[in-house]
Amino acid sequence: MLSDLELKYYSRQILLEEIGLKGQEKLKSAKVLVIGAGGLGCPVLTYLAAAGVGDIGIVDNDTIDISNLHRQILYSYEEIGKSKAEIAKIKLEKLNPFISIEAFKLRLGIDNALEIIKKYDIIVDCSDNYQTRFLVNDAAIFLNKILVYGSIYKFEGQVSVFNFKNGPTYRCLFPQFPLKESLVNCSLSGVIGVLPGIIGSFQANEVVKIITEQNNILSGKLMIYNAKTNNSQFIYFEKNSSINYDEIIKLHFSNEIQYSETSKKELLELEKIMKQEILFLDVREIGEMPTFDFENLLKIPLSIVEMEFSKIPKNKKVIVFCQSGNRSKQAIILLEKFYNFENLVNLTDGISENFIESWKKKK
Amino acid sequence: MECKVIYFGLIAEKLAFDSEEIDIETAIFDKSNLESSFKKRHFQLSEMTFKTAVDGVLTNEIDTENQSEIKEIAILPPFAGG
Repeated sequence: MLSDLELKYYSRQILLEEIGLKGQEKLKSAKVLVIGAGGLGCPVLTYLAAAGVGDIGIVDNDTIDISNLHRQILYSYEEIGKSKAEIAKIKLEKLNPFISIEAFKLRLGIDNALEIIKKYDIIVDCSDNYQTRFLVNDAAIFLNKILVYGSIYKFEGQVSVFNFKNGPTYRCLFPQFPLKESLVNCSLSGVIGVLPGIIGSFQANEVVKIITEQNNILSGKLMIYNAKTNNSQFIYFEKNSSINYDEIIKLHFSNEIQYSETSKKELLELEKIMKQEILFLDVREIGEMPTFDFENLLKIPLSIVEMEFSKIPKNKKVIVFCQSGNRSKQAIILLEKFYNFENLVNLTDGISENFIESWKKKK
Repeated sequence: MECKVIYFGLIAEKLAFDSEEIDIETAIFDKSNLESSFKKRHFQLSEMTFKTAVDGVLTNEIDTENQSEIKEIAILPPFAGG
């Protein structure tokens, strides 16, 4: 039931025959999760909040950087360094005090995706990497959620709706993680600031159409937009029956995952392991402290571990570490499941300077 | 039997052009595998991931019976930016 103030707030869209009071109430009851509060996430969140989507979740572990501001329009210069998810929540609550917003200040991974996604009806993929895009797609299939997809590259953008009424999914379009040559670091490739605004607006529009049960949803259709030429193209695609979703989902989300682990104490005490040649793999992101530099150390952040997996040897024991043992576990699961590694050991309690010093002394 | 090929995103960048006219009969040697044909046609694509669409429909092959009617082939790389 909408209050008098809400009726005034949404009056211009309630006037639309396609929305009406019934549609507005549907929007209020809807639960939408937006993954990524960056270039695409900002317009998606703004329009969904303004449209009156009653329950919005925001997933982003990043902080605001000065280089984000030309396109991430929810943020201001004085908010540099602050959490995107938290600032977005604050701004959106000011924009629309009649809705509920939850901020998840974390990176979506195998260990938390299902728990977060299951609470929502529609998932909006505004992420900036393939790892998250495949994970979100597979989680959406597993939980039977509609996925509204948007992605950008320089002046071009793609929009589609996946898993809508058992329709095609992201893997029907792109079945597997791209080859290395196709991987581009977005922060290096550049993007025109207006483009995520346009593509994000298309995504928000699809979400509103889905909630208010309108026709012509972009399911089975990939829209490609070029901001240079203003050309839009549509590519039609069907569900790919050769994809074994059961296997993919089992690989991602099965609780029966077996992997080796050790603690720092155990590692120092294990005489047997000490005699083997051991390599350490640091999967923390660049710039995380403390930094280490020693023999037999490989640094491959989790965000690019699938691109760089060929650098990791398979013929020696590799101790994988991060700050707390969670991301290293995620890296091992990915590498074991998809790249046939059998030599990885998780350092369950994360890394510390003291441990590295003790390790060097033992050696 | 000329048809227009449109290249998108990173693929257009690698090739340094975003479209070309080709003769399907001679340019696409394996009509049952468009991806492979374009990887061989342009060495820059050999290690890249993309999908192909013929006249707006995602497919990896050409219907040889109707190939003279084909107007456009799109070469679609995935985008990840957000």
